Amino acid sequence: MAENIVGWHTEPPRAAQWEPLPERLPSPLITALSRLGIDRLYGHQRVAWEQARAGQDVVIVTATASGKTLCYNLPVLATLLEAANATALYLFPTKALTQDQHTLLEKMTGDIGTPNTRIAPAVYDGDTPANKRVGIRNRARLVLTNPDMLHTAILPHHTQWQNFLSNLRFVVIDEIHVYRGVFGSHLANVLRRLRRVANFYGASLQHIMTSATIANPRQHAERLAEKSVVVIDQDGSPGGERHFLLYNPPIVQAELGIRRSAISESLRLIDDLIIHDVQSLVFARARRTVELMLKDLLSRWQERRERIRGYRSGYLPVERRRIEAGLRQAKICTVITTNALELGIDIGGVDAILLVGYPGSIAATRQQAGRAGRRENASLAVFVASGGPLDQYLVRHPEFLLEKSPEQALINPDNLLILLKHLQCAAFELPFSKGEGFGSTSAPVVEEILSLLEGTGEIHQGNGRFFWSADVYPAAQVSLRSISAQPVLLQAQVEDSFVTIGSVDRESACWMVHPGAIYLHEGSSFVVETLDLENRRAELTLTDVDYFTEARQRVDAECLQILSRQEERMGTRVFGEIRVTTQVTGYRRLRWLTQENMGEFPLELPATNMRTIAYWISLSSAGLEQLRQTGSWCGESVSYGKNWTRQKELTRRRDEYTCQVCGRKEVKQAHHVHHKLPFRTFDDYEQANQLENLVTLCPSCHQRAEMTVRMRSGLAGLGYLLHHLAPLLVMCDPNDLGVWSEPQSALGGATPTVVLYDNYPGGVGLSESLYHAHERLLNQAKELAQNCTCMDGCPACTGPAGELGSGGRQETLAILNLLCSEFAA
Amino acid sequence: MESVSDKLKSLGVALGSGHLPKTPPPRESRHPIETIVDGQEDVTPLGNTFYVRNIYPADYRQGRQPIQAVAPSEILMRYCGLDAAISAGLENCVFMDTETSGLSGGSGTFAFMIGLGHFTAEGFRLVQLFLRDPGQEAAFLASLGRFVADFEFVVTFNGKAFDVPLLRARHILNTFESPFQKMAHIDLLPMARKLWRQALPSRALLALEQDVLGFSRTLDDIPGCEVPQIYFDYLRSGDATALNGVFYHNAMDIISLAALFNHINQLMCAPYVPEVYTALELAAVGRIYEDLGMADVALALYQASLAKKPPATYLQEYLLRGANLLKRYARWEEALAHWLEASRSGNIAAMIELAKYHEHHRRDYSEAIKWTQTALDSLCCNGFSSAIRNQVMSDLQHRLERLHRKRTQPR
Repeated sequence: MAENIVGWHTEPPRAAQWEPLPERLPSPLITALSRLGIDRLYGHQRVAWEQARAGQDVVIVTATASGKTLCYNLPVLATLLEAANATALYLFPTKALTQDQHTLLEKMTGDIGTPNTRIAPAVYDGDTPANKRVGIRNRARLVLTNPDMLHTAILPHHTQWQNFLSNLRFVVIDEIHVYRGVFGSHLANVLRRLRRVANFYGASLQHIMTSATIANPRQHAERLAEKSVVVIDQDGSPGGERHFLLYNPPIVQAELGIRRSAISESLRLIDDLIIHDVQSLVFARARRTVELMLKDLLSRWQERRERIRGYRSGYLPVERRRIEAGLRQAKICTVITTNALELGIDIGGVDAILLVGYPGSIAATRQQAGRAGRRENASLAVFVASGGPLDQYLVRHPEFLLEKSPEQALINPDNLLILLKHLQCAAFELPFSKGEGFGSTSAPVVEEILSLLEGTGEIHQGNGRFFWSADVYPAAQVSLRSISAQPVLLQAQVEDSFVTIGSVDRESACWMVHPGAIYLHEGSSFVVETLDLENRRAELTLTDVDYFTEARQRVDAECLQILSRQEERMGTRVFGEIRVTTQVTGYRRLRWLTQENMGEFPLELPATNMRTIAYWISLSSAGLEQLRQTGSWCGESVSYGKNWTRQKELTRRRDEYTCQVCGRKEVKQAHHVHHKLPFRTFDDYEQANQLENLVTLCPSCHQRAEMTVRMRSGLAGLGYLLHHLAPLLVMCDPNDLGVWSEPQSALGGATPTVVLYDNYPGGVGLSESLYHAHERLLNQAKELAQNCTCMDGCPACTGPAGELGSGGRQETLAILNLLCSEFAA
Repeated sequence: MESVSDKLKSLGVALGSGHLPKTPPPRESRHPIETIVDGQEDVTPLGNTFYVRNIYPADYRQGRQPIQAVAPSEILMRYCGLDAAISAGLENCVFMDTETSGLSGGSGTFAFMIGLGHFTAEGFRLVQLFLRDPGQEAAFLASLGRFVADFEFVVTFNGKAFDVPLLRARHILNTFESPFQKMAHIDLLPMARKLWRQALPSRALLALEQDVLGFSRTLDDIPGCEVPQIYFDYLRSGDATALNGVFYHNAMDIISLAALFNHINQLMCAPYVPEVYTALELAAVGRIYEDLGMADVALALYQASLAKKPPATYLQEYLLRGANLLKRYARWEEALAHWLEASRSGNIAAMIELAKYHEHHRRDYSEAIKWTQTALDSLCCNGFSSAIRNQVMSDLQHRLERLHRKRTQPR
């Protein structure tokens, strides 16, 4: 086991930086705090108090369990106590977190204030009973809700909130790192609408935000608030000694680079924790994994069943509260959970954390690992790597997990599709005046879009203003989770009826929910039965399979506009707008644990067009020439099997000793014989060496042909690598990015090109950031390809070997060496 | 430079729904509202607004129902939660209905026509305010404020949930206060629901108009759901021709509202003249009185209704309602007769009442056991949903056990 621990990092204990309670803290709050056992503050809480009281917009970026909620609760509650009318709005990403914070706030505000100044924190979300809503709208001074509720229920009915909005002073946005990509771009616009409506009632808002550690908290917070923001990141909370272990399961199949699964290794580690009665949280990526692990543990630990529990969305709230309490009271020793326990829920601290595979972002890894540590006791977090490229990269580069995070939360509030939808919602809420902008969107752009809507009849212009003039409630038609003008609804059969479990963009439907695709929703697997593009509907059924699917697609990219480019001797990098035409031609099934291919299935689906933002790298002719001269690109290093000499002879005779490309006849020296489909893509030599797959070529034509094959495989390997590494820098799901490569691409003027693009119409800011992180990304890719122990490509580096167009670790490395050689100079 | 429109198109947005002309037709082909309906200008400090005024003479009938100047009855006032002591003189009542840009609500929905009716010496006067352009809403609302300034009561049909909140939102958006905030509100819908829940398939105004008032609209009328689109088409084209139908629609809504108001006021007199009403009407009015806590009047109405032999479907309900009130007055013999009659047609609630009566009042446990058992036996052939059946069954079994205990250990 010890040899599998590839890293052991110890963080020394950290003493708390204490500050006294602020002098101007209202006395009811001092009483409330002392009831909670608090008589002084951590450094960052005090700084947050000072800044917020000075009217600054702030973002607090400190570790999990560092008391971030007090950073906003104190200044907000103080203001609400001082000004009897003042109100505040809190936004949380999940209902569970909203409930948790509400309980906490009720404890703090319980008996504060006279009947006139009572704060009465209230949750206003989809679960709030109808008969309580009017009272909350009219009386509550502190409302806790979520972005969707603000978007569909509060803003479109803002006149019912006249009182609340007229006196609105604060908007608190918790966990802003969650709002990235499409969701974040939408939220930025919902906030623009909130500020616009509040402004109508004469209120101007102060933003207090919190975030997990990300690389760009200021930029992200400022994009949401559209104001300059003070970053508070000096963590003054204490911490015990922390041990962070990196565990890489042993290799079981060296050539293919296959390791033992993270799940089975984790189960062994959990056994040790149970034996030593160490209270632990185990974070798995999917609900399915939670159930799988729980079943295994319960069957082997009969006598301790009561102390081992699962926790995930789908459990009843009472059940969840019981588990949370059990953890706090140490009645429960081991909890297997999804990320449902990652955000904020109060469970105190535990002794050990086990991460079964990379949770998908560094922020999430840190938040989950941050659950370890009770007061000043020592704690342990173990990251058990899976076989994926990111996991494998991270076990070699734990600094990403431990030091300054490279991850950026990116949004694009001005994505035209998203902007269009929120302008419709905003026009519904309040007529636009001529010359009125929308957040940082300038008045001329707003007017241009509104004029377009006038053309469709949705807007009427009269008296210098733009009025909503359609019998439509626009917010109801805008999902904050998708971007497309034409979403495809996902409907799952539950008993006799269909329930909509989500939607995907029309542009993504073919590859995400093609017939036979496995679609994951809240950790459950659904299989797609039918996809009806015309009626924008897919039918799914719940399933329990041990594989996921990956669509095979043919991509073609056309450049619409170059936004920025940098030309080097060996290659050019570009960031621009492209049109991607995608044709899904089939899919394959991959086993969950090992990513092993379980079979290919053809599909017939229409091609899809999408306009988006992309970042691409094209090799120059100088670069190509250099590759051509490099030894690793040519020469027959492989044995082609027993019949090779004979088949070679037969091919040359068939082709009359003439090069089938340039027509040159053999003179003295024999021509070469070339495999049309590369030799290594076949399972046995007899198949590969069939005459139909062989062709006679002269040495120079052969070199060119060979070059194309190798280039194709090198580019594909590079694409695979970049695609899987990019989420480390731009915090996204790999599916948020599309990738395509081609030896002769129109994008690069018929030169070898790899393109990464935002997989959303109009883009959400990912490619642009990758373009700027070019050197870093390529260096990381090179290192990963260099240090992999596999033979010629595996899931952990340039992709599984033995398939058309992938593998090719050597070729990928050659390209990377070439491109990276320029950075050093 | 690529236009926003081209860019949106290439992003997959379908702009322009085809049937709409790209540009409005030239001025001369337009038919402004002034040329379509005969109306006047109201001049307000915030601008002019257009309105139409009509008088419906005192002998006007909407179907069978005359619209007479009858003040709201005390019962109607009480049912609307208003202090019956305040006299609601008819001269203080304004009848209101709006036509709006949509039915989904929210701050983007606005009223473009407000019909206001009230009784005058010459007859029923109807004023219809019309919003020529959403940009003139401030003047439109100012004009509304002037027209309703002298009234203390507003009478509507579903105005509590729809028209009044919608107008309040419009006033907030124009930064002034809605005149209806200070007015008392008589909304006929809740009462209509109570009165015609059993007798009629629908309680929509249009249905009541036909079934209660005996009135049918002419072909000029247009369905309410088409109203928003007609207004939007007018805004785009400037052609007000189709709005004629909306004016008619709104006028009929107000006249029917006034007629219904009359009709309901008359119905509330049922206790004094039961002979002129049907069994269903008497029972429905009885429920109104019962809701208001006037049990004696309600009981009299139920008895009068039963005497008129109501349809079998409702008989059991009236028997039980009557028995329930009789029980309150400890008129056990009469109540018993009701329960027995209802139980003969297999009514389980009546059987349970009989069991209760025998257990608690008579302490005749054997008889109580008999009725509990009868109820249990009838349960299987009853039309209850399984959840309710299970609940009732478990309650009955509880009762049965208790009764057996009581019978064997008498106190």
